[in-house]
Amino acid sequence: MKFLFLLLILGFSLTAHSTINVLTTTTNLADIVRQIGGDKVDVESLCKGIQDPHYLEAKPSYTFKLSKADLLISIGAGLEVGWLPLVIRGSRNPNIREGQPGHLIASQVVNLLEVDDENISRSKGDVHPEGNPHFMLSPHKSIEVAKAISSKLSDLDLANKEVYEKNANNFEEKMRSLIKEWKAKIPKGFKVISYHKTLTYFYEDFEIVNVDVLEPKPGIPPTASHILGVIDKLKSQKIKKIIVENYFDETVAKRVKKEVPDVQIELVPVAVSGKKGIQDIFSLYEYLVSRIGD
Amino acid sequence: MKNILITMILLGSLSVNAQSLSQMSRGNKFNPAIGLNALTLYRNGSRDIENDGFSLQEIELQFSSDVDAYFRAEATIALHQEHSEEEEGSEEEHSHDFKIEPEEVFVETISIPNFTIKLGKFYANFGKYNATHSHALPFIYRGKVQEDMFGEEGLAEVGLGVSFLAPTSWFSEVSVQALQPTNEDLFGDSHHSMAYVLKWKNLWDLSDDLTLEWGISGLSFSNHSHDSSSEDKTSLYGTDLTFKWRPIKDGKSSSFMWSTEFIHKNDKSGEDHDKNGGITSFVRYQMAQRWYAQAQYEFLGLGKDEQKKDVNSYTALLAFIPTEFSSVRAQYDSIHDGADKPENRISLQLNISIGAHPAHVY
Repeated sequence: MKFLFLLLILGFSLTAHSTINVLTTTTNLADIVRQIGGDKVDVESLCKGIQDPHYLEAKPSYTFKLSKADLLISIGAGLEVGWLPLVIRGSRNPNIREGQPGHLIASQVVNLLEVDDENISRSKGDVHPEGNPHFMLSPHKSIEVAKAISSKLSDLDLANKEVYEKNANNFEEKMRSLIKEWKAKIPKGFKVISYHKTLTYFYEDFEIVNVDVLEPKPGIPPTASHILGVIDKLKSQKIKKIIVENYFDETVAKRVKKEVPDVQIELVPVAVSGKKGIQDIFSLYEYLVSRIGD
Repeated sequence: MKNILITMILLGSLSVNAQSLSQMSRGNKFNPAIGLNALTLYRNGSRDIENDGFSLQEIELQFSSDVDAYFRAEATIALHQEHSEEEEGSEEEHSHDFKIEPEEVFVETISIPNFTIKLGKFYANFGKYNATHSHALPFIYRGKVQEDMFGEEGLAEVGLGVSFLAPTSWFSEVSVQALQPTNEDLFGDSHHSMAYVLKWKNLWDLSDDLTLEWGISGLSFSNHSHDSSSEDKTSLYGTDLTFKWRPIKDGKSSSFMWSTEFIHKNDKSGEDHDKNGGITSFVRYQMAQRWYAQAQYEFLGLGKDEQKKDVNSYTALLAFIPTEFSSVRAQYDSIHDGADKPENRISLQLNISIGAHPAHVY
């Protein structure tokens, strides 16, 4: 009897709930959902802005949140493979399983770079055969993702289709005009060294040349011999900046700076809320342009 | 010789089959995710010296895939070296044969909201670590308390399980399992009724960095070889408490965990009543991205039969974990079980994982 009563309350609370409950794996995705969905959605990101989404743990609290989600939006391309499948299984929410209408995998709507299906091997480090999963750092690709989110929200909530489409158009317009401004600020062919291949898509959009990475292989911490090679390149190619994503350790970059004092280290956020003041995807790109470009 | 011949024929037919399959260019997409874990061990101890030296502690082959729109299946096939002693006449013979065992082979539902129904052979959902596969255990060996209750390999039986998330405002999972008893350490060799296992697991995020997990477990079955009376019931109770701290910032290079588990068994079946309880508590500290240090204390002898001796066990472990796919661990155990001299043992383990990499339980 008590159980029935509980079920009734639960049923009532579900029908009374009119907004779409969206969970995303990253804050970049969450921000776009917020911009497209407005007050029609409740959105939360499982990964915080200063966390590396590749290394999250399958926390039961995520499971709990996903059990109540109407829509899950993930990056895909193997980024969340170490934790998300378990969280989805535990949630006992059939609608958000991979391939179901309640799960949008963003990597499936954009063309990925560094796809390596042929010669893939884990001896190359933490590689993703499906391609580099950090496409949300491309302003161009964020437009494609915004459109996919708009059409997904429309599928789930037909009544507000126009709202979502209008917001997606506004997002695209604003982003395109900002891209023009940003491009003017970054000299073509500007050379940098990075810590990890996180900013590949950003570099592609702004024709920045990433000469080398501090990690000898993805996910493998820098080694002395590799760093010596990087120092050579810094000196011979007169590279001015080392870009370190703020969820990696800055120590190695500082050691390099001791050898090449002219080089500038930029510790940058790569996700919304990854740093104070980075409250949306526009301010994230704006910040990256201001730090990397000059 | 005959075996080799049969194997060769089998292998031959397999490769023909594989070829014709690939020629038909279908199937690969539907292959299950396949992963292999191999645990290579070196040990040197003051007792059981015939087990000293190198050995393959365990190889786990894991397959998993959705079956169809309604079910998902998972199989873990374990191979391990088993040391046995046989006495023939006056001579003792030692053998280190390999044993193949379906550790877990089960099907679970994926289309029912809120509930999961599981059928097949699986680890009993009792306590915090019984359901953990060997490669994911916090230490090189299962704890002494666990071993005393369920044996070296844990409790895995064929049966049916139902679990669901309770409609609470925190993570709260209830699971009920009915298992066919075969585990020798727990059930002995007499006939028993079905064993029922109940577990209630709760987890709270105390902050973004800190979680608290608390669970209670119960297991009970009755003995059929005697007239049914209340005295014939065997029951196990357990409770576990785990704190995990991993800061949002720099969480890749520092973390801390403290986990404690208590289990008590009261076996009134058979002639020798068996009553004992124990507590296992360990801490794990991550000093750097790839380095972990752990220490564990175990005490066995809480609410025990008088003739039983107390066991105190101390363990220290240092782990170097280069990537998600490999780890090297060194462990020292000192087990004081009431004998004249304690058992001291050092162990070195290499743990590798190739193929599909299933996510690990929190």
